[in-house]
Amino acid sequence: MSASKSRPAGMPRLLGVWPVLALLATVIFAAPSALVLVVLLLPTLPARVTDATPGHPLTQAVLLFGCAGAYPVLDQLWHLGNELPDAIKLITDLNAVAWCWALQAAGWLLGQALPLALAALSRHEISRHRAALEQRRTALEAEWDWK
Amino acid sequence: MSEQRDSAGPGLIADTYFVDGGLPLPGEGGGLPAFACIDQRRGQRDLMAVQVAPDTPPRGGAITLMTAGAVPGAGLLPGLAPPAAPQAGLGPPAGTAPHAGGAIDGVLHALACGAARGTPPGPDGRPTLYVICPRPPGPAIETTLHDPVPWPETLLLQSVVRPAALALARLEERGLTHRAIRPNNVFQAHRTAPVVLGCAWAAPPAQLQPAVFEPPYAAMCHPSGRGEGTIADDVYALGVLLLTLATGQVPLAQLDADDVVRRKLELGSFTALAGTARLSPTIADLVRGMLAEEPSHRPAPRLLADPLAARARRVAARPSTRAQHPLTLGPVQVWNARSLAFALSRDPDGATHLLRGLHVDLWLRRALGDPVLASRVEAAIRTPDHEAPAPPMDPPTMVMRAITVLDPLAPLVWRGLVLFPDALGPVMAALSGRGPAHPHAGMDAVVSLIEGEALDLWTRVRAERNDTAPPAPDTAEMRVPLHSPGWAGGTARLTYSLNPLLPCRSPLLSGLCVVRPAELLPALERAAAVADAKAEILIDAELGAFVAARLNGRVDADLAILAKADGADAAADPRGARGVAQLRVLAALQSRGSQRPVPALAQAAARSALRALTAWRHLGQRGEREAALHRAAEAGWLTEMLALIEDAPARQAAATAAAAAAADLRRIAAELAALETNAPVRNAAIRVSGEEIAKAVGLVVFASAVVITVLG
Repeated sequence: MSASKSRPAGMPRLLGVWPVLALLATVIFAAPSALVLVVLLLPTLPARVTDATPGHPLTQAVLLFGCAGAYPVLDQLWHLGNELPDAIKLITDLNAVAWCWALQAAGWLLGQALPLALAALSRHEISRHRAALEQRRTALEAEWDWK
Repeated sequence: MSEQRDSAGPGLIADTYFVDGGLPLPGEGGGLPAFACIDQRRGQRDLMAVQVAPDTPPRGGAITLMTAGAVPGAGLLPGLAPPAAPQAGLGPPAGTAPHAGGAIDGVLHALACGAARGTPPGPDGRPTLYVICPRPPGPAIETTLHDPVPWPETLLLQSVVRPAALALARLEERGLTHRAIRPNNVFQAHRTAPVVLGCAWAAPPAQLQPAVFEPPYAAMCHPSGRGEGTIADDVYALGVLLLTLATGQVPLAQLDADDVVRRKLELGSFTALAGTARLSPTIADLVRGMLAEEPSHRPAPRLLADPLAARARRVAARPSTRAQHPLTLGPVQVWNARSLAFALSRDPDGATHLLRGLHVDLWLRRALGDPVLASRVEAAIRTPDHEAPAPPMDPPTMVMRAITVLDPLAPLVWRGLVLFPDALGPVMAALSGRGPAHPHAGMDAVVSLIEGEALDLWTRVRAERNDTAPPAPDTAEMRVPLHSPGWAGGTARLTYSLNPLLPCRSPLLSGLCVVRPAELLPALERAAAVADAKAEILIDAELGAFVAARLNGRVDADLAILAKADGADAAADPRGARGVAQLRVLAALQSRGSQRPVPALAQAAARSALRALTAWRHLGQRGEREAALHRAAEAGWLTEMLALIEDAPARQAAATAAAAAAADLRRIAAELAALETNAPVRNAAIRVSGEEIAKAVGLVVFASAVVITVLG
């Protein structure tokens, strides 16, 4: 609450209190994992900046896709001992990073495309319904004298 | 009643009587035009058709009684109900002898009454009614007066008094009066043959009687207002006829009617008429008795049939008291109470002045020496004390009451109108002018007479003398048609109600003579066949009043609708209420009348009635109804047309279906509007849904990645 009060007007709030605390804890107690996560989940940041929808469902979708891509890398890091050199080695693996970012791009695309597809589907259904109604109205007007 | 069909050849009255317009019978109609007539069924040729004058209804009650052979007394007086017989013409039922039950020896009785196509028109050029009766046996005895030779006493008694008295007795048995005994309406085959009383049925009672042949109280009345009277009035007329024949000339022929009446009232009828004429003692005694001022003092017809016995019956009557000096009303001087009453009736304004100024009171007390009569007059014209502070009595009531007290035998005098109340119908017909819907100014007096209490008051004031005239019609009963709304009410309706044989005067009938409802549709059919093809309204005020009277109130509500819409164009009646009302009236006439198809009329009526089908909002059903209506109209059945329009179950079902369709339309409109107004909300919801789905997919992908990674 205090964070929102001190934030200048017009600046979007990127993260809540608890995610920030969790991130800080991760940075302090698991800095290698935090480094891997920051690098791998980097595309989520612009997604969050552009997502003005209440509840930020698009950001959440991108984040979940990103997590799906990051988890195997984290798992690999934790198996290697969760050391910083291993973390650096992992994040410099372009295949892993590209795969993870691609997943987030796919999540973003899905979040963008699905509403459009649903809207198109809805418009089609509505125009079909409207046509049926107008046809019925025309028939009634032709069948009856309303003067 | 009348036969005015389109078939070739002349029409027949009552399907029986052919009127030969090319063979007039001058002098045989008793003052009315008469024509030779043939009974086509029996080939009888000794008949005549007496033409009824315009605005003068024939004596429907008497004709009905004679032609139907009904029991004496039934339907005698003109009443509100029209005669019941719905046949085409008042005549004997088909297949029966025309004289059965109706023949009255010594009288040219009515055989039928009606109109027919091809009969000579009336004086105004329009077809008129005819009364069929036997032809007189010879010329009217009026022809003998050209040679003013007195008839011998024996001839008078045997050929005139006895047969005429017997004829009157027969009429009296049937509850009828003749009221047309005068020299031009009494006939003889030859000088010594018994006389026959002429046709007295083609005009209101005594309408054509010269004043000299009527008792002064009838003579002072409006010519159409003399009423049926009593048989004593016929005895009086016979007495004057006897005097005329005995002296060889009509008495007082040089005086006008008012002078004759005044002279009779001043001197007494016998003295006024006989004067210094030389009469045999027998004739003088008979005539004196027959001309008695008091009707009950005149010999009854049955007694008169034995003239010598009648002569012996002498009733002493006190002569009226003559004043010491006259009372002057304008140019008239009166000498006794009876002539005072007559003078007051002739000058209502002067009468009011004299009565209010107590001139009458003073004259009665001082000049006539009759303080009792003066007190009675004073009591009659003074507002009763218990009604104080009531306004002073209105002048017409005051004059009427004063006259009635001064002379209890006097007729009803009301705002200058003098009549016996049972003659209200003929008087209203006479005052109708161009038709009952365009009445004469005098009709106001009749209306106030009916609407006020004058008629009842007159009956009460002369309660002891109500035997001298038939009872007055019930004013409460007359007020109903008078006050009915629209064309179903007013003086026109009442005039037709009181005169069952008064022809309809509507110009829409193209001059056809229509008396009964059954005749109306054929006449309208002929009019519609030649009328403007676009005409929608086929009933006018005159026709409306006629129909209301003849159908006895069955279509009053519809006539009120028609009157309300009178003059408005079709656009003012989009739902066709006027057309349906008209159709109802016409259908009522068809169901009650001849029940013959009337295609031209039906198609004209359909033009306005079609708009009523807008109640069927379903265009398909409406089209079917319209087609059915046109088929019924082409067939000429108005009742079927009305049934199609007034089909209540179908109308209700159509209304229910229309309401359902309207609700359907409203629902569709609401749904379409909602599609437009809800679009932003719907779009937002779709977007959120898409993003939520994407999130769910992400969750599934994440969970799958975790599971795959953990499991190796």
